[in-house]
Amino acid sequence: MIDFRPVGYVIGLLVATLGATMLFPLALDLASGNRNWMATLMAAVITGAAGGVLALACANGAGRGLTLPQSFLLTTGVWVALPLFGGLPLMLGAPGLGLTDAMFEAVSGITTTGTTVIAGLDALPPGPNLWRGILQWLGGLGIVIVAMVFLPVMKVGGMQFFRSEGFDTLGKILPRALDISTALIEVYLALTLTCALTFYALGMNGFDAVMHTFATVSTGGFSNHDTSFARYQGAAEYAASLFMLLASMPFIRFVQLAQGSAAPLWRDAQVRAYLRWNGYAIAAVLTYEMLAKDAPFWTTLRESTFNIVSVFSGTGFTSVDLTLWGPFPFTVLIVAGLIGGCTASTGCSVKVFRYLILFEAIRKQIRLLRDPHAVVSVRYEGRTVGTDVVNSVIVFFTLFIATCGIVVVGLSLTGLQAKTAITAAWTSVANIGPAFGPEVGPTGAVNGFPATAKWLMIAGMLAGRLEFLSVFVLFMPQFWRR
Amino acid sequence: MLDLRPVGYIIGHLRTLLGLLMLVPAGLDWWVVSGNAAAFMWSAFATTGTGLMLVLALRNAVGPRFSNRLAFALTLGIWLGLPLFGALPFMIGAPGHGFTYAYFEAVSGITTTGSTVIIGLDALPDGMNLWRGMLNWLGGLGIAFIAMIFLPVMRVGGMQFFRTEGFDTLGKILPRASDIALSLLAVYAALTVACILTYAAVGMTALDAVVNGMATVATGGFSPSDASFGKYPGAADYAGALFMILGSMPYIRYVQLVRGSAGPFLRDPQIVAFLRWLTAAVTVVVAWRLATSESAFEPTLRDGLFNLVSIFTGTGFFSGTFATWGSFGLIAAFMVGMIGGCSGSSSGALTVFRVQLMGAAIVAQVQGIRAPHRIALLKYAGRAVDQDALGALMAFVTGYILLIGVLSVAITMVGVDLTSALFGVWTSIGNIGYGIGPLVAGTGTFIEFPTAAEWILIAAMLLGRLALLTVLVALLPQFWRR
Repeated sequence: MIDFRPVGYVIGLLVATLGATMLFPLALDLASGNRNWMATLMAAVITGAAGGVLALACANGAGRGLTLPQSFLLTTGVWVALPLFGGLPLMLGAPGLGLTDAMFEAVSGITTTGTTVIAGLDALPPGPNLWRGILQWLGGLGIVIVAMVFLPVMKVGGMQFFRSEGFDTLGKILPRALDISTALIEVYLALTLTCALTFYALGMNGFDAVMHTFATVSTGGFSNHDTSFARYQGAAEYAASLFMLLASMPFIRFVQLAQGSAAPLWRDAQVRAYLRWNGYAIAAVLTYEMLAKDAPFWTTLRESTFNIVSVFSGTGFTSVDLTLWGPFPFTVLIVAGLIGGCTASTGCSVKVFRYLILFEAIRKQIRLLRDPHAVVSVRYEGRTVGTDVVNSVIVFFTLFIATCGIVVVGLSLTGLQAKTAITAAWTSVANIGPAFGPEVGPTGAVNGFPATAKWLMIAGMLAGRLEFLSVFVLFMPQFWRR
Repeated sequence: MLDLRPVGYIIGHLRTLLGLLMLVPAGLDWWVVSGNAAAFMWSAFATTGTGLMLVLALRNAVGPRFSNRLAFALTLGIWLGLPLFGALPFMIGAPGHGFTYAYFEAVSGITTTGSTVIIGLDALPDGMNLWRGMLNWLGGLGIAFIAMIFLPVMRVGGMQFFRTEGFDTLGKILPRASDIALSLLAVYAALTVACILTYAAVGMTALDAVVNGMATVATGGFSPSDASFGKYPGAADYAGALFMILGSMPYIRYVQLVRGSAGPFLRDPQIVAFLRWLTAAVTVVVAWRLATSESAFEPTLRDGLFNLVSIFTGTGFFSGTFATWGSFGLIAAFMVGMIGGCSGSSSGALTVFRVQLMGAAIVAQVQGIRAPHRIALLKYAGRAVDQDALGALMAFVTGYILLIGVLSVAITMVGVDLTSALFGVWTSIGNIGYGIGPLVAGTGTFIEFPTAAEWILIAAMLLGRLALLTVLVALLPQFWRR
C-alpha cells in the first residue's frame, strides 16, 4: 500500500496556508465596515486548524521526498482539498452558498476556469470577491508549479518531453525543484504587479484593478462585476489581452529572460505557434465581420482581440458577446477554446505543444504511407520526439475527448438542452469559463443548473486542469497494486 | 511523374461496367413507361463510350508491377471519378439536378453514406430509385473489397494489422485477390438476396424490397421513400435492423465462414464488442426514454433499436419518433455514429477495432506509469500489435476528430449554424447519412446547404470512405514524383 503521510503532510501545510490567506478578505471586509468578516474569520480558523492537524498527524512521514504514485496522489489531493476549504467563506458568509454551489465556485476558482454560480456579483461585499480572485491567483500559481515540476516526471500527456529541458537549462543554475518554484513565483509576482499597475493607470479603481489582475495573470476570468469586462472597453482590453497572452506562455521562458537570454522565448516553437494562431483567429473574425457586416475596423479589432485571446488562453472574460456575431465567430471561439495556451503557464485546455506534436505525428504517418520502409522521426524544435511521448500525447487527446463526451452525456441526462450541455462540457473540461445556452442566467451565472450538472462540471474542471491522466490513474486497480 | 496508365486502364474497365449497369434501370424505366429511360440510355452511352476509349488507349500500358502508390491512385481515382458518371442520370433525367447536387447524390451513393438531396423520392421514376440503390450496393461491394485486400497492404489507419503474414506488397497478394473477390461477391449477393426476400415477406413492394435490400446490406441508406423506413409496418424495422447488423460485420469472416470455418466469426473480438456496445446503447437509450416519457414499450424499443442500429452501422435509414426524443438520445446517437461498425465491412467512421485499440493503448499508458521500464505489448485477438500499426491507427483517430473540427468551422464560414454544420460533417465523414440539425429538419434532405457547404460535405464523405490518409497522401507533391 502507498504511504499517505508525505502526501498528507504537504496537503495539510497547504490547507493551513489557505486558512492564513483568508485573513486578506477578512481584513478588507473589516476595513470597509462590512460584518462579513466574522464569517470569514470562522472559515479561516476551521481551515487553519484542519490543515494544521493534518500536517501534524503526518509530520513524521515528511522529508523523504515523493515517489511517483505519491506525486499523483498529491496533485489530485491538493486540487480536491483546497476547494473543499476554499468554499467555506462563501458558505458561512456572503453570499451564503450551499455545499454544491460553494464547491463549484471554489473549484472554478482554483482550476482557473471562471464559470460562476453567483448572480449578483456587484452586490457582494468586497471580501468574498477578493477571495474569489485570490483562489484563482493561487490556482494559477499552483498549476504552473505542478506543470513544471511534477507533470514531466509523472509523464502526463507528453510532458515528459520537457523533463530534461526543465532540469537541464535551469539545471546548471537552479538544480532543485524548490529553486525552480521560487523563480516561477517571482515571475508570477512580477506579472501580477505590472498588470495591476497597468490596469490602475488605465482607469480601474484600486479594488477592480486587483481583482481583474488576479483573474488575468491566472487566466481564470472571475470578475467582481456581473458584466465581466464590459465596462472597461477601450485601452484596458488591449492591456488585458497582452497580459492574458503573457500568462499563457511558458513561464520558464520568462525566467530565462530575467537571467539575460531572450532567445529561448523568441525561438520557442509553442510561443510562435500560439501567437500566430491567435493572430489567425482574430484576422479571420475581423475579416468576416468587415465583409459580412461592414463593421468598423478599430472597434471590431479591439473586441475580437480581447474576446478571442480571452477564450484562447482560457481566461474567460467577455466584453461583448461574440457568440451573437454569427455562426463563424462562434465556431472560432469554440475551436480557440479547444486549443488553449502553452504548457507550463497558467493557460488551459489541450495546449499548443500537444497540437504541434500531433501534427508532426500525422505528417510522419502520411510520409510513411508513401514510403513504408522509410525511417521518419517526429521532431520538435530540432529534437527527436520519442514514440512514448507521441503515444502519451495521443492518449491525452483521447482522454480529453472521452471526458468531454462523458460530461456532455451526463449533463444532457440532467435535462440541460444540447447547446447548454455541450458548451458547459467544453467550458469546464478545458477550464475556459463562459457558459452558453438557455439555462444560463442573464449574467452568465450557472446557478440555475441542476445540482447533478454542477457536480459533473466540477469533475470535468478537475480532470481537465490536472490533465486527465493524473486523475484517471487513481481509478485503476493496477495503480494501487505493488 | 508517376506512371498512371495502369490505373487508367483499370478505371476504364470499371467505367465501362458502370455504363453497362445503367442499362438495368433503363430497362426498368422503359418497362414501367416512366419517361426516364432515355436519360439512362444517354448516360450509359457516354459512360461506356468513354470507358472503352480509356481501355483501348491504354491497353499496352499495363506494367509488370502494381505498386503501393498505384493502389492509392487507383482507390482515389475510382471514388472520385466513378461518381462523376454515376451522377449523369441525376442531371439528364429526373430530378434534373445541377452538377453539385448530382455529384453529391452520386458520391453519397458510392461512399454508402446515404445523405440525399432529392425531395419527393416517392414520386421519383422507378429506375432512378433503383439506380440509387445500385450505387449504394456497388459502393459497399467496392469498399469491402478494398478494405480486405488493399488497405492492409497500403498500411492505412492501422489496417496493416490485418495484413496476412508474408504478403508485404501488392504484387504477392493480387493473384489471390481475385480468388477472395469471388467469395466476397458470393457472400454479398447471398446476403442481399436474403434481405430482399425478407423485406418482401414483411410487406414491401418488389421495387422497395430490392432498393432497400441493396441499401441495407451495403449499409448505405438510400431509401425509395421520403419517410425512409417509416413507410413500412413495424416488422420491417426489425428485419432492417438484423440485416444492417449483418452488413457491418467484417466480410472476411463471412468468406471464412463460407469456406468452412465458423471459429473466426464467433471469436472475432470486434464482432463481440460491436454487439455488446450496441446492446448497451439501445438498452440505455430505450430505458431513458421509457423513464422520461409515457411511451409504450414495444414501439419505443423498436424505434430505439432501429435508429441506433442505423446510425451505429452507418446506414442512415430513419423511422419512428427517435429524432424527437431529446438531447440525450441525439448525443448517444452522435457517439455511436462516431464509433461506427466493424473494420473490414462497408461501415465507416472510427470502427470498433480502432476504438478498442485506443482503449488498450490508454490502459498500457497507465500501466507504464507504475512500471516505466517494462515494455508493454498490446495484443489484439491474440496477436501483438506493432508500433507501426498503432502509430498509424492513432494518427487516424486524432486526424478524424481534427477534421471534423476543421470542416465544421469551414461550413460555418458560409453561414450555416454550428449544429447543422457539426452533424453534417459527422454524418458525411462517417458515411452515416442520418440527417440531424435545423438545416436538414425542414426537408429531411441536405438540399438546403449552400453550394460551398455541399462541396465540403462531399469532401468529407470521400475522406471518410477512403480512411483520410489515402486522400491526404495524394496532396503531397512527393507522392506523385517518380
